[in-house]
Amino acid sequence: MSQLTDKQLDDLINGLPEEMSVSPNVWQKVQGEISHQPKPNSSKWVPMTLVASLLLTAVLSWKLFDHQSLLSVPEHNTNTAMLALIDNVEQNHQQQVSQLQQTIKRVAWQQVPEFSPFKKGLKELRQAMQEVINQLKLQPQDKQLWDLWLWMQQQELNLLGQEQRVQQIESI
Amino acid sequence: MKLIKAGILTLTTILAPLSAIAGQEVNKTLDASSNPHIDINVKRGNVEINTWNKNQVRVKGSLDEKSEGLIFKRDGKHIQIEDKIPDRFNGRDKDGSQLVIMVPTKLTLDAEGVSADYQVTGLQGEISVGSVSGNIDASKLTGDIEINSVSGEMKLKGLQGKAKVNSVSGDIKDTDSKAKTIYNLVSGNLKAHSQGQAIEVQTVSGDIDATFPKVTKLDIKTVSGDANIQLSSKVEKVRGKSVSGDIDLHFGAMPNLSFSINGGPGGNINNHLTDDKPKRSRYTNSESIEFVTGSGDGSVRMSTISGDLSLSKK
Repeated sequence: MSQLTDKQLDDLINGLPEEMSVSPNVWQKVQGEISHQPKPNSSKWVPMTLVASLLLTAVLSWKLFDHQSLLSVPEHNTNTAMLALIDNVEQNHQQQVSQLQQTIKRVAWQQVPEFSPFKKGLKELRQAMQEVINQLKLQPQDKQLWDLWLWMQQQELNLLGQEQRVQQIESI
Repeated sequence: MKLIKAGILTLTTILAPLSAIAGQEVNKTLDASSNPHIDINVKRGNVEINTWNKNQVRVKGSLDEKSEGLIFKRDGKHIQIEDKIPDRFNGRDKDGSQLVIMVPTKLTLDAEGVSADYQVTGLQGEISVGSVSGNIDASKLTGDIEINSVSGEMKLKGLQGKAKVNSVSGDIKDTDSKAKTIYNLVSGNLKAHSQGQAIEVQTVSGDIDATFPKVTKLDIKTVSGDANIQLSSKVEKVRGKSVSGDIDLHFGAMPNLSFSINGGPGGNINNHLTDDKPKRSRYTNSESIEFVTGSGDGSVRMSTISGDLSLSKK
């Protein structure tokens, strides 16, 4: 994936929140989460709240950077800032995942991988996410990689939310 | 002796209603408001939901072998149907509830189960059907539709309006739907022949085999699953992202699109639409290609990290 020109970087910084290719329904919910009071911790809302926190962190982190000064900063300094942002976003995401996992009770079928479609799906997703992170660290200015990574994070949160919901349905 | 007989009689009296409930035949009807909100909770067995031309809800069939009683009650617009069984249950699914539920055509429906199979047809409104391991057959539904399954199979037909279909490991088969649809899969596979105009497909490792002849907007995201998609020349916008999965787009006729395809650090681009060849970046070793077909009014943007991206015309 190609390196960005200065103009492209400028466009990227200005356009990142609006241009993330997330489905309209998610965006409506994220908008609602950011502008409203925190809702009670129910399964349907937990993943959306976490996604909102994640995106808010990403947006605030972007805004911390004065994009004008970035244009005159040597590229390696920009990359350093982006790498720090990647680590920050990843750390934030892992905290959200840990919090969500604490709400999911351990039951017998979850500990048997071949019988747990969630465990298998999460394992595949996480392995692929690591691949994307590794690539993103090599090309931290690649917007399409960012889009892909954020989508995968959302998928992980959604899957954990579904697992929690299944527990409720089965009254475990 | 009299005491023993009294004891047996008492025990029989206590047990009789319970045995009468489990496996009991039911045939009950409630009046419903127009556009009622119906909640159905049947953990295992088979539930058929059909429509009729009455403002009534009827539950007919037999209860679960372990049933503790049928909850069938109305509170204003809200109707609750639940075949209550113990939270932890063993036994075969055929010991479960076998119910046919007749409902008004227009409604809000929330139906869920654990291993229960659901067949739902002809409803209009806000419809949500979910089962953990049960199979779901949904046909001729119109409105705001959501179908969820973890490991059950889903067969969909003739959906209209807006549909969101979620599966973890179960396969999805969708035919003749016209809905604006989002398919979300983890490891299950999707086989679709949909007439929808706006389609979104997201998969982790499940494969996609789809024909979308009327689609104008298509969004594909895959981690490692492969997507093989037939499109018409009418498509206006395609966005595709892949980690390692392959995305193959086949056009019925030459489209009017501008293409921007990025093969990433480890992917490959196969262009069989035109004679344009991918170029390899000197610095990143990634392939990319840009070209236009026809008037170039629409756009195709695809990128991958290590998958194959292919374009062809039938």
